Amino acid sequence: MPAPNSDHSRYSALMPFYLNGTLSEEDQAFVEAYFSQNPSARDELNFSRAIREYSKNISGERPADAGLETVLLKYRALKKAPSRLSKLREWCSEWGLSPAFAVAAAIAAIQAAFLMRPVVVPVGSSAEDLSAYRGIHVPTTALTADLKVSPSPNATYADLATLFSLNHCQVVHGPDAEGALWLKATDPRADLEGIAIALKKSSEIDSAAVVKEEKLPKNNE
Amino acid sequence: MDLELWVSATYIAGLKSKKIRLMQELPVDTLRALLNQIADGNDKAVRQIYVHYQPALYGFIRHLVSDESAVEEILQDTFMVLFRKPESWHAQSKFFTWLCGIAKNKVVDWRRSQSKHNDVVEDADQVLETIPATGWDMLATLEAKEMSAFIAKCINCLPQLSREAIYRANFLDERVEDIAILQKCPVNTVKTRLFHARIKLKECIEKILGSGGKHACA
Repeated sequence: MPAPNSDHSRYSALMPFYLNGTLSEEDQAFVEAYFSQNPSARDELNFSRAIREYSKNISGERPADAGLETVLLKYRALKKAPSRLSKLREWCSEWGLSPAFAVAAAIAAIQAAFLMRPVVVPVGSSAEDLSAYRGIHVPTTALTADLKVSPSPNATYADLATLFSLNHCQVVHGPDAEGALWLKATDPRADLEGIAIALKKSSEIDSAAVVKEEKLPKNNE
Repeated sequence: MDLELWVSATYIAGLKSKKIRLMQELPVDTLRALLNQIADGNDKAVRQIYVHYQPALYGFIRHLVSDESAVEEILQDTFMVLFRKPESWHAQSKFFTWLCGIAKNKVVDWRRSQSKHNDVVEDADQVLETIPATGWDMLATLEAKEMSAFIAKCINCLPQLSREAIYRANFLDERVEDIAILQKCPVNTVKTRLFHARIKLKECIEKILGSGGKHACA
């Protein structure tokens, strides 16, 4: 048996990769040089080549789609028509939800989307429609007055507006032919007598009285 | 130029230019798209993946298992793991490497079921420099077909890692560095592994020849 030889060992170690063409140029040159100087190395090379041929031909003439039909049958059986309900269940379980909770959450989401949708007013809508959408408060005579006041002749509109605002009331009717105004307290639980007294104390108001069960005069009166 | 050398050079040049049987990985995006389609129940995507990877995967399993019917079963089981849960590939490794990993597990399962789980112990720790050069002249007398038949009989004598290295170096034409990464070992270990494989195959063939055709692992 030949003695250990480091060049031969290197040659043996590199041989499979020399045959598959992945050696560096340096290693390839070494193998070729060793090979040309040592005819006995040919037998080992031939044996390596025989292993390689065995490896390459291991699948013989087997077509690429051999066994495909069996695999497809198994695959189809696996994926056989999952119902929508089972898909929903699968989806829910992926998110860690019970189906009932998921349905409830979906309904809540739809409702929220409906309530929060942008309001689109069609072109050509009437003013009444717009006021309804914008939430404008339109005072009407339908409001029952709580107080009747007679402003002093020197009182200005700005002074009166400030005074009424400070006493938490607003004008719901008037002025009539005599200049009287009818007021409504903004707080339904307000002390009407107290407001009347406070208004009377003001220099802008000549008289103020609580209205009791008195019908409002019509606008055209 | 020496004739034998010229033949080798021509052989390697042909190999590099033709790229016959070299398995090309599909691009990751294409793979992802196909796997999504498989998850949606698309037969066409199943067919495409199968036809592309089946030959190389069959070759891989065939290197590890000699029983033809078992190879077929392991091959189908491996693909079914993929088709059952196509989302389980996360592109952290090459797709074919991942498939080979599944196949290897299936091979282990099969060996257990066959009570043949005692894999041959390898002696790749032995350093190449300490191994004396061996005579190969006896094998030179064999015809190529005979040789192939003997190798097929004797490859079972090799440890699984050696068979995998033979497959990767010869069937896939991979570089020694790539095989070392896959087998998580130094480059020299892969070289030693392949050298020992050759020695064991040679010894096994010589035993068969000496015993009148009786199969014997060294």
